[in-house]
Amino acid sequence: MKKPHPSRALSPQEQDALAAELDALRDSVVADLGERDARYIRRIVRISRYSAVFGRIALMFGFVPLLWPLAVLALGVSKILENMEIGHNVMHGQYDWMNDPRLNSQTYEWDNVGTSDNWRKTHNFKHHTYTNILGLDDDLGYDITRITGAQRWNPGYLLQPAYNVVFALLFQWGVALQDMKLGRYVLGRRPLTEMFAKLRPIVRKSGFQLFKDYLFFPLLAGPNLLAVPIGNLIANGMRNVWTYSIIHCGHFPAGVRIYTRAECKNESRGHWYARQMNGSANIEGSRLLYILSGHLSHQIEHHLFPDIPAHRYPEMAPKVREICERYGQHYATGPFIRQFGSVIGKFFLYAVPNLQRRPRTA
Amino acid sequence: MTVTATAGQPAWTHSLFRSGWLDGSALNFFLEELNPAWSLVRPAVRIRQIIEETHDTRSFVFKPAWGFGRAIAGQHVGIGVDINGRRHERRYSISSAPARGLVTITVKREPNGKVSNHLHDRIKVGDRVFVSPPQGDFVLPSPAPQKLLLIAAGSGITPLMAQLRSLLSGRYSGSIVLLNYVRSQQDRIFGAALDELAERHPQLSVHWCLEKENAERFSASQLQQRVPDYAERFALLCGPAGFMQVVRQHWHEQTLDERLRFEYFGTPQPFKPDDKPAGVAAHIALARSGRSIVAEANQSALAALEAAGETPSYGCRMGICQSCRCRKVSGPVRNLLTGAVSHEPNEEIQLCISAAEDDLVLDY
Repeated sequence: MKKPHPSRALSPQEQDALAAELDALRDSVVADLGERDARYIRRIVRISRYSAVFGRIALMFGFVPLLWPLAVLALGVSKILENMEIGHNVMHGQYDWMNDPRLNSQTYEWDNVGTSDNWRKTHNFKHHTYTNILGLDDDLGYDITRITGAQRWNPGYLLQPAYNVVFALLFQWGVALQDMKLGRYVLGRRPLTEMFAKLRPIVRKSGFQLFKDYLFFPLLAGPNLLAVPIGNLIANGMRNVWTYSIIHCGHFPAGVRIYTRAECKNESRGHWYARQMNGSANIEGSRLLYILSGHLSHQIEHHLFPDIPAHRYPEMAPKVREICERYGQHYATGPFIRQFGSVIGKFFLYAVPNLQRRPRTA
Repeated sequence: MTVTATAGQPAWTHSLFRSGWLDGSALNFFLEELNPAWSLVRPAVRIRQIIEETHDTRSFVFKPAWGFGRAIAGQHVGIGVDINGRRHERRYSISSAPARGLVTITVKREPNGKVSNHLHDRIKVGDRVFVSPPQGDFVLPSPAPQKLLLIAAGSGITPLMAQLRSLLSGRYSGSIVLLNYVRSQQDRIFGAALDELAERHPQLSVHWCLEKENAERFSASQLQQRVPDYAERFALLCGPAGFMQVVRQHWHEQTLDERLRFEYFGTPQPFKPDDKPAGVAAHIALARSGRSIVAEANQSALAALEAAGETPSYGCRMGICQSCRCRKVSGPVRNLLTGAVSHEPNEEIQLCISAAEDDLVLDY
């Protein structure tokens, strides 16, 4: 039922040559980093901050016609920019070379119920090091979705098309709790005291977020008490659904390869590069889509060069694609609708057990 | 002049940012938008005046932002500038007497100094520089000893000038001798100001020791001749490392170490580079614990730390995940992936892909 992956296997020599070419591309961009990149990220920060201020103030005057939806949109866009183009990318160390304490990967705290410390571990380390390795990369289906036949089926997956709608709406909570692996505690495999200790920073962070969006700003609004929290809820929801969609387009569409642990034992740098190429998928679209996705539209380039300022990916993409083609590696890309459609297709396809018995992968 | 480099932001803003119950970063953003000097992270203040001291030395006068505190004479401040998108910070001694109001730093142009050259070539009156609070323990005991000897070489005069100005503007009634070693007549930093101070205050005597014109250098006999009672005086010393080594050696031989305070300029050099056993490429000094460990050639700093029994945090061990990020205070590191060598002080590095090229100081 599954076609063989379109990329050909690379010999160790080819892997080394591939690594050398990608390293050279990386070096050329690193050598060119400077004023232009600093100006770009500071402009995005400014847009995000002012759009949040406009949104929050305008929400308080929700009785003015048309102002309320505009305010929600502004706040939602601000949160999207902050999470995607600023938070995610800053925490990857993309702007550490600027030596600006406000854009430091180790101290940045994002506008999200999840803590940055947690994210740096689950995302920067686990996901980016073990990308698409079944059993090591927790982002493969986020422990709740079956997106490949290699995952063992259970009847719970029958509901995955439905519960993914809820997951999308509450995505930031999923991200916040991902590393907790709450199932362990529910099943009694780990002590509850450990769960409470691990939950404490998450509760503190999310408590602040809830306080801000649903108590502090609504109370500031006075008579317009209800319009503000509802607006905040929708803005948060907008951001949740958008990030969910972009992130699910990163590694789950058709043409993306899943790896086994055995394949990646003692892998070379070239093999790691090839795995990042084959394990990621891009989205084609407008510059606006690129920026709002935090340039995760260029997931392949991001996974090859996670610490290069993301707004550089579009100009690196043609070279990466050319290298891919020369080495016979598949470069998975397509418009948003097609990529996301392909992911939703997998939700349905893998909700049911595999149609053919396939030998279990090691 | 550059002194020991220290951490980026003050501890209280760090805890503010991390406290969780105040969105410090948002507050900070809008404060900076209103006025860059109101930043909670790193205030940027305008340069009010630039004074040409010598052909290669300039003083920069600025009004510090709130939260700067009051400097003690002899301390230094962090000065940051953005050069092609990158922020570079160096520490410079304050040369003015501590007072409310304006602060003066004095900067000598270093041959390859990124920041000193930028300050000299690019910064004009009205431009902003980032300033961090004063630090340093190169200060006089309190109350100040009645007999003082200040020994300066080159731009080492800057912290001593602050001491002099502070002593002479206050109630200090003791006697001060300043031994000032400079290359030539035209390298006399604060020449006119010192002559004028000496004229107004008989308690101060200033000795200019000119290397080029008079071939006068520090030696035991030269010191004996210039300052016969030097052993009775409490001494403050500041200058280039080589010069200070010679002076300290002399004080040591006279068992006067207790009566000498000194400050090194330039990046700190806690080790002699010539006593390394075979196989050891470099020493790594750990600034927080004061420990010193050895690194082998081509060994990542992460591996060197682990071999020495330290437990740094790490993740991927291949330069991707940033878990092992650490601030390098000084020294050259080579990127094991690209081979690029960086000498930049105060730089964030990834321990897993950085190898010590020579002795390093890590903020670990």
